[in-house]
Amino acid sequence: MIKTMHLLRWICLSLGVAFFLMPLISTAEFSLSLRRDGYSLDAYRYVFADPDFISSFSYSALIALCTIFVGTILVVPTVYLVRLRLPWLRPAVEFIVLLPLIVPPIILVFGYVRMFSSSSLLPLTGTSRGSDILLICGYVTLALPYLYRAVDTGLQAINARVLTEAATILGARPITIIARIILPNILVSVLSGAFLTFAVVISEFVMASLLTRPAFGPYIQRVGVAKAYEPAALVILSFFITWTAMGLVQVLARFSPNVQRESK
Amino acid sequence: MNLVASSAKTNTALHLSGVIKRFGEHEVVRNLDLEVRKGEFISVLGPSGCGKTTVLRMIAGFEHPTTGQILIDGRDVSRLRPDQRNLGMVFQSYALFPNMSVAANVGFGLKIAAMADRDIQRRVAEMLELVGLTGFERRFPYELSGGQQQRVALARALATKPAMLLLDEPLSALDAKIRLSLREQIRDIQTELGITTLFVTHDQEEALSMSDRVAVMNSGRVEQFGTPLEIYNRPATRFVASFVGTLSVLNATLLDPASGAVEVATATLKNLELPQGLARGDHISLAVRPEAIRFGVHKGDAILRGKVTGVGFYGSVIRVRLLVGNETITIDMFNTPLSSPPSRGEDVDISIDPNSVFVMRAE
Repeated sequence: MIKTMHLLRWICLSLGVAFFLMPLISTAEFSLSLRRDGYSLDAYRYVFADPDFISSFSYSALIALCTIFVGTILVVPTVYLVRLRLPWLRPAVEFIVLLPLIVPPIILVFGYVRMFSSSSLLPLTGTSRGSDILLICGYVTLALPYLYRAVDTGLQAINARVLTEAATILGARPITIIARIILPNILVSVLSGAFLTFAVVISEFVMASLLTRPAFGPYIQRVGVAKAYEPAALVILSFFITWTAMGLVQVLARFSPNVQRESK
Repeated sequence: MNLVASSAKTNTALHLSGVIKRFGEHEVVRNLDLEVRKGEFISVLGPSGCGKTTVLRMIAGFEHPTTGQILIDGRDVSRLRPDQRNLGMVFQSYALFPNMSVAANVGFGLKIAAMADRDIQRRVAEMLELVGLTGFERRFPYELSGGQQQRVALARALATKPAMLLLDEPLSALDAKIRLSLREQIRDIQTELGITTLFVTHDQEEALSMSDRVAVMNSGRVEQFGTPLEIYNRPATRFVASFVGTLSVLNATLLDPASGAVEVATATLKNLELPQGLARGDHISLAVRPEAIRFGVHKGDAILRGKVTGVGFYGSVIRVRLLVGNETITIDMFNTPLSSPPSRGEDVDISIDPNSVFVMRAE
């Protein structure tokens, strides 16, 4: 009986792995099939040789870093305040930060375009810089569930209330406490949230496309319309970036103060 | 003369006057008055939920009293922020900053006060020497044992030369042996520095062994404030008598209020100090400490006979449980090489000294 259960578990796991990996393996195989006479990395070579690839990827990476910076500045004090001073607000805040997972990004970006069009009081869509700012704001909203959850878990792990009280009685003011006590102690959590944000932002399409920004997401879509093998190579590269980010989250988790304490 | 002026002129380090704290409808601290003299080591002792930690948090400034005044060195601090009160505090969970070394933790308050780096280093070295952790400067909190972490927390709290030290159950998270040695070390350091200290604990042994005076709290009120000897030997209320130390309670009937004679089980006790307003035939409770009862027949004492129901070995003390009539009483006897404790089921005579009995109204 136990052996049958054991076998059944392995069959279920194998089916699941096959379900997720088969399309990916097929795409990878296709991306290597540009030559008729065998497998090659030509599709990848063409992608890396394309100047638009470098510029769109660099642009998206820069926007992702700005998103992480703005998101961290916004989320860390918010979570800290909600946890310590306004715990009654927590259910409302948690509901709000989950909204980006429910409401499609297209609704958000349409709202932006209407509110900040060239005929509005703040015509941000009228300039490239303004559109970049809108894109960052949109991405911060999109990344809120990931950043909020990561920071909240980090604060829970370090007993922020007692650390705050200890620092307060020693004379520290709130900004000093956040900068010198709280943030350094939840850095691993913040970085986890940052890598998740990076993974989400780097190949985002809807917002970048509707705000007409030269981002990596629209670039993948553009290449997909015109070429056959290169889009498959881009999809594999995109997966690689995402998985690297996820892997770094796991690596960082090993450096969390709690893990160190437990391993002692 | 107002409270601020009178406190400033006297030797009072801390004065709580008419302090009430409510959380919503719930009154956690009820009309609390407490006066602590400079250099005293005071324990606030009580069960969980009695309001002792709230009192400490109000003194620290993490909570504000609903009504009443808190004076530190004659200055009304009731509405001041914690950093404006010049206090040091040690927390139950150590509260060391995990991202900072031992030296950085101890020097944190000094750095905030913008002290010169050289002076900070000197003061940190002094403090670490005081708590016996010289050489641990570069270590991080996760590299230290619980006892070491709490000593670092103590050094950090003392580094800024606070007017008063607050200790919030600092020994609760430590194992028994370290708790005992750290208890002595804290008291030695407090005596050496002469710093006024308020220690919150639910452990009566800690409170009685460390303190100059103990405030026993129950349901938001101080039931008794006195020296450990007063608290143990002359408890003011039934709660203090039962909470501090082990107590056996025997039901008795009052025979003669004038001579203080009562009947308990088959024996008569005389010359008891009785509360006011009792009449012949009233039912009362007699409370006796385990060490006030002796085996055998001793002249002048009340003699009772009972059956041994249990014998417990506690190292230097052997604790015997005895059934007298329908009541179970506890007796402590010293463990010496010659001592032979009674066996379970044995019938024995015990003597109770009337001077060691607390008389309480029956519940």
